Amino acid sequence: MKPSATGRNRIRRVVILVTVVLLALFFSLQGLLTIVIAPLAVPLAAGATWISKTIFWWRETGGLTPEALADLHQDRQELAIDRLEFERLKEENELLRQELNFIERSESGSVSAQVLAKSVSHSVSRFLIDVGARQGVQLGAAVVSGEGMFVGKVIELGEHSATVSALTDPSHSVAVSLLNKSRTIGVATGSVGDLLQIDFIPTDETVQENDLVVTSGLEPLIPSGLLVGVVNTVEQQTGSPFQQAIVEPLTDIRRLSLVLVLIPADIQP
Amino acid sequence: MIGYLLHGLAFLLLLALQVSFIHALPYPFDRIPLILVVTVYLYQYEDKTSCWWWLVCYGFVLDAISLSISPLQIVSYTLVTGVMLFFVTHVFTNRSFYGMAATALLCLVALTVSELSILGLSHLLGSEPFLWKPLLTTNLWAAFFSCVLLLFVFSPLRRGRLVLQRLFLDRV
Repeated sequence: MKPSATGRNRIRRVVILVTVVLLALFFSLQGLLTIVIAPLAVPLAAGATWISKTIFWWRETGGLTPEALADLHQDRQELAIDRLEFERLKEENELLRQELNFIERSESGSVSAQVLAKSVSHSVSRFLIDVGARQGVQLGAAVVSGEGMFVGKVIELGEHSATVSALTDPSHSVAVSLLNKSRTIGVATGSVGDLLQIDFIPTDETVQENDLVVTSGLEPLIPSGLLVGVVNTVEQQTGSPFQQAIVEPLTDIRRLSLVLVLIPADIQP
Repeated sequence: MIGYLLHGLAFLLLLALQVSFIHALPYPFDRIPLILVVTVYLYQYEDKTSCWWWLVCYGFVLDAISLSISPLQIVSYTLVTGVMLFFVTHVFTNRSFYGMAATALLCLVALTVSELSILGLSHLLGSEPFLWKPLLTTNLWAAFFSCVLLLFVFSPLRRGRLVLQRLFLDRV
């Protein structure tokens, strides 16, 4: 038999535990936790992100040096952004030529946030950030990386913190549009692993590898044109009227320690 | 009172290490079940019986910050705590590596069964995806890392502490 505390002590402990739990609930546990663990969590999360970037570079390469891989990542992101901008300007130009007036794109504000905790695996991709309702963050708000790439959206909101479901989370879905000729729209959902999938694309839509995928703007707090990823593969079952696009996201939340949360211009604090 | 405060601080430190550091490492290293293994080690080997509530609190925190795939983690971790208390008190009463490893593994089995059941129920009742395969894989990695932690981390720590005690602490 293990030595155990006296019954009185045990009751006292249970009472203290229950009181702490009730107090935590009363003061919003997420906000309280954020305040308490933030001084420790921020450097720890940044440290682990650094380890992921520098020590585990070989996991993604197979012969490339970390510097070369970082350069390639940078080049790919810059090219994707350039192409996105090019496509947008081309489209805008065509529209302006057709009609001499155009609607201005609405501007969103943003609030910068630090990652406090992460849970990234094949079954879940979420992270906790240190801004919440007090800073103007709303449920469903878009979260982007420093370069403006779409990272995910807010699924839980506290006073001083929020939980973000990343693009690759299996329970995450976002309305997207492909930058192909027909501007195919669809819903990108996280699949098991680090990829996304867009299902139920009619076969008469021409979807090709390397087509860019951006947010469509059909969700209230997610503006259109945020870069999501590139089409990696297009699959079609024999006889099926639909095809499926596998999308490779351009951001990796393992490498993020700082993000931006977009907030509508009218509610900026 | 100071004891409770130290307990709370130790839990917060472990929590920060688990959710901020370990979970941010690349797969499969993000599956290291630090809190579970430390609790089993302290409860079974060091006789620190008051640290059982760390597991319950960890489940509660996971629910609060929604970082886990399976909902109701507090239920799963309360079950795990019950399993740990039962096996340490009635089955693995010796303080060997095998006893601790068996307790940790059985706790992970209980956690997996509970998470799968809750995930299956929420899949039946709602639209949550039932990702049983990745959950099993991640918990298998967690089982592997729990043995590694117990074998390669806690044993040298214990020896280091004994050496330190023999060299310095006993002479002070």
